[in-house]
Amino acid sequence: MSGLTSEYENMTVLSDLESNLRLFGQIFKNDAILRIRTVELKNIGTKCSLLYMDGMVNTEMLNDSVVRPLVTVIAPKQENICDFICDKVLFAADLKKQTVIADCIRAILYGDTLLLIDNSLYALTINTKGFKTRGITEPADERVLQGPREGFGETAMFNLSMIRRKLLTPDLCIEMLRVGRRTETMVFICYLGSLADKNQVAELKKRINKIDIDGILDANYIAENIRDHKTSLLKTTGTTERPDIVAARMLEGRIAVVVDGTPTVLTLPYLFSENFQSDEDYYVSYLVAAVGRILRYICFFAAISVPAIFVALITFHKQLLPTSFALSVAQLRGGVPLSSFMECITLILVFEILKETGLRTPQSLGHALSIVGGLVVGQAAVEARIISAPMLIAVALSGISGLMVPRLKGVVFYMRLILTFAAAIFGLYGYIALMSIFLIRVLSLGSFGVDYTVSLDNPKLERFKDTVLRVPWPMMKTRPAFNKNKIRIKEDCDET
Amino acid sequence: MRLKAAFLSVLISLSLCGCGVYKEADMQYTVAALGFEGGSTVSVYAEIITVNPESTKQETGNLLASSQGETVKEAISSLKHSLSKPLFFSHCGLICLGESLKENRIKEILDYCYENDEINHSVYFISSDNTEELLSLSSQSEMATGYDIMGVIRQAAKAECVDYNNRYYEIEAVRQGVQDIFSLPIFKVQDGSPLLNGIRIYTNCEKTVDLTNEETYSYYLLRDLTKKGSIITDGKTVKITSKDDDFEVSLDEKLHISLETEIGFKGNEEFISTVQKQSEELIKKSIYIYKTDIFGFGARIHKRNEKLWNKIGENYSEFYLNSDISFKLTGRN
Repeated sequence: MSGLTSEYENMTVLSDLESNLRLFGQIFKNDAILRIRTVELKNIGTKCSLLYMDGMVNTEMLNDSVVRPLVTVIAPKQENICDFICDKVLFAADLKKQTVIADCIRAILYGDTLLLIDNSLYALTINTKGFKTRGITEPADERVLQGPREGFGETAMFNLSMIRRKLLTPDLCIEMLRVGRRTETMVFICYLGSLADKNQVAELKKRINKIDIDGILDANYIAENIRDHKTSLLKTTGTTERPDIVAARMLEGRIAVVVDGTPTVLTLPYLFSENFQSDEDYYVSYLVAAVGRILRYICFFAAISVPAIFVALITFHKQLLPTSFALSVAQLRGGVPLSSFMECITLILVFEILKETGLRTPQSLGHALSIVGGLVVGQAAVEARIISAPMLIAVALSGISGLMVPRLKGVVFYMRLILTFAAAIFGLYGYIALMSIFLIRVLSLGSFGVDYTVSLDNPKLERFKDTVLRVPWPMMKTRPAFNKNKIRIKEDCDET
Repeated sequence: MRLKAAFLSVLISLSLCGCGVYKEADMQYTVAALGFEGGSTVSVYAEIITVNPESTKQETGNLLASSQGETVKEAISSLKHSLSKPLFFSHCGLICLGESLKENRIKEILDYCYENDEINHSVYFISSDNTEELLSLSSQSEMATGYDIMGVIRQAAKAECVDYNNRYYEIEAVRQGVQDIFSLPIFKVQDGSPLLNGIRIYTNCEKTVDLTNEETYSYYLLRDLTKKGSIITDGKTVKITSKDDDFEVSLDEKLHISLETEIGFKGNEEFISTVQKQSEELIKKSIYIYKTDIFGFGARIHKRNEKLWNKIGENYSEFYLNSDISFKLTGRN
């Protein structure tokens, strides 16, 4: 036996309780938290066994709704005992008759209680889930000043309920798949039936079903397996921990993938312009949102370009700098042992180290770290002529700008390094060549059959309504360019 | 895919090779101004801006390096070899031509500027009687004397109604044979400062005549190079507000050039008669003393009346020396 639940797909529950218990005892022989409680029904003497995982069930509910009724009931003779227990004894709302052993195993492992009845070919799974979960909190990476503050948790069912609460429509479709040979993680595909592209849904299912992996512990396991361009720096699947964002994206015709065990939900197709959207954009004034959007585009450009352009200017194209600035750079670089390129690369790496350290250390230490790392060490290094002040300013500007577009942090880091490298070898020509290649690459990407830059590649005002800018809601009458069902819900309501 | 990417990388690398040279900013000397003097041997002066790496504030100093050679290239090459860091000419804002330079030397300097990619095409050209003394002045702006002189020219060009036609790309037109005349502002040293002291006119790179500040306006008026601005005549400031020109030319036994100009101005009315007088004097001098068309009338005839130019073009100098030139200036206060 390889330990996979799927191996028991063809085995069914036997009528003999002892045999069933032997089988489950064998299956869970190394599991210390499996609990078995056998009771004998009064009047008829039929034995029943309850199997559950300690800590995963709600003990109070188990006692009151399952054990107590079974112990106290006076069962009638000559009646189908399984149906009798099901219909007249147990108080549980969610009760299922099972015949396949694999389904029974899955139920026990997920916090349900399995009831095996002697002389019955059915087992009952009772929903007694009661494992502890994290409460609803605001996602740390997606904080907003205005708007809903709730975030997903690690339990898929709770997450689905949060999405369902936002979309009170029977049009919401939720399909379940199990992925992972050993974890058999539940993966839910959610979409609005009348808005989502059926081909995209089919393609998504196809790609998820192709995943052959031991376990799925986070949504990123799925994301990396289903993305269109597996080695691309730019991600083509969106992620969020906020139910309002998932609901908003589904209203645009997108599909959400909820994975059990993680608060991260995938949304797709994902467009380049989404990297520059903030969750808060839709909850604040469109004027404020538009400024934020434009700044994010500028900051992305600055984050990847400033060190490269600066290195190119001070080493290859000094004639392009104002004389006083060129002299200032020359003066402040005097005595610095590293070349401008090495200085730049070192500072970029130091900045990344500081950033990562700041993320991993407790918040109380984070402030001290940024003061010591950023201010004290930075100033001391400049005064000791280990680095020059202009380069420190350039890299710091780039670093701070990069924080404006957290969804592109990987791209920013790599592009910053690559462009700096090209600029140090070929000057601005190298920078422009690599930027051109990057742009060509961005334009050639796609996400589930949709062009990655579909919302930006056509100079129609219509396309910019929710990309570079965020126009007022009354003006957003159409859904994103990739959605064939163009008219937004507002207009549908008007028609009806 | 990998093969394509590798091929693309190699292709880009090859196509970008030689696009520039990596040089650290602090490993070069920034040249602020270049000066040339000399006859049989040429002397070159380079005003270099030095920086103080020990100081945290911007602290610059000047260094005047000089060298000599048989040719301009030799002199500059010798200058480069006498310095500890390579020279960086891209921020050179001024080229000063000494009085002693002959026609062939000026052409050589222009050739050098043309061949040297680093020389900025908007560099200012000036003329001076003593280049070394001028460039040795201590800078007012704590940067470079060359930049101070640029500032003086810019201020004058902005405030006054004469347009100092002295940028490198304009002078290059003479080297290319498109025009014959260019004029450079003359700078001299007075009380330890550079002083704009009229203009020097060059015809085919040969020094022809020096004009005072007061004559400059008349000269530019005849060359049709004035603009709105102010001038100072007889110690009084006159503001020019408009200008209309009527240039006519005819040929019978001799060449007749008639130039009627009406200018709108605010200020001293005597200014009109002063300028009229100065202009007539200049016209006479150009025919009888300098014996050359320093006003570029030939180019204007060529532009306006090509048929006539075809008749007189080959012997224009002779026609000019026998010409009848009338200039009438009227003013509207």
